[in-house]
Amino acid sequence: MNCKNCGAELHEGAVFCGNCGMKVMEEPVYQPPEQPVYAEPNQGEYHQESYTEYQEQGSYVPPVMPEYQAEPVVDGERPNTVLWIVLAAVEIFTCCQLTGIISLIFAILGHVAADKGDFAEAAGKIRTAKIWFWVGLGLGLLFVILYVVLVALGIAAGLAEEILYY
Amino acid sequence: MKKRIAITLAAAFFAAAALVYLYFTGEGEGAGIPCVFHQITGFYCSGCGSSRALRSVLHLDFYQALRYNAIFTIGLPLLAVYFGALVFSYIRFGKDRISEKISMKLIWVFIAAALLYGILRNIPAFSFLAPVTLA
Ligand SMILES: [Zn+2]
Ligand SMILES: [Zn+2]
Repeated sequence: MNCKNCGAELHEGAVFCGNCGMKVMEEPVYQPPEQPVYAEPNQGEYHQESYTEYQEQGSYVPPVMPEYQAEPVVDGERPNTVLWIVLAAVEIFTCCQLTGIISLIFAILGHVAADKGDFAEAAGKIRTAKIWFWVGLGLGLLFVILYVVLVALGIAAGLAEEILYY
Repeated sequence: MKKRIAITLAAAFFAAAALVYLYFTGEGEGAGIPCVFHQITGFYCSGCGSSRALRSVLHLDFYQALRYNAIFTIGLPLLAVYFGALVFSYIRFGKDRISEKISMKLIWVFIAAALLYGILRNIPAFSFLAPVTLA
């Protein structure tokens, strides 16, 4: 959640914004009791009908929440797709083109979904893009560390040889 | 805000350490990370030579940087401005207010150019695009 006044990220349960000090106005957030179908990313668009169908099955009675039906926004904000497209592209160039390309593809798919207004789908794609980005970065770092260790071992071995034979 | 500055400084420290390491690698060497694609296929990918290019930029040898990886070298100043703005936005607002203002057209052009570059540098007629260490 973000501060309504300055936009800074808020800690969970914060009463005042840590950045500007504004009192946090809690909007009543509708929390579904179980993992709801309509909030699942990667499952395509959220349709109003699917929710009503779900309701008609009788298995699930939502608590009284009139605004929720009037405004069925599951993922309100557009996910940040541009950042992840750029980061994936940079990863292709700097360390790990395999993970970078996968990350880039998912980031682009997310961007396309967000352009269509399907923010839930976009958020899911961006999540996948992030995972691949971090996997690639982790592998790259691991490689650099290994390389440094090997070089250090090589230097150590060279020194040991010098000490032993001269 | 203090916490964000601390996080930024920590990230900047690691980035600076990486750049210092890269600066002191040998001539014609990059970060020492082999390109998996190049190792397997023998072809150059669009990213091949970019860490050597960055090393050359650090040594202010811009022409050599272009010869290692032209598209990376051209994109570098744009990236620097973008990341600089990102860091500023992060410290000031705690969130990214920059990316939404970036022209997607520019990004698509760059991605398309990178793909094309990756193909062309393997074609003999365009072999001047392949990474080369100038004497
Ligand atoms: Zn605030
Ligand atoms: Zn490569």
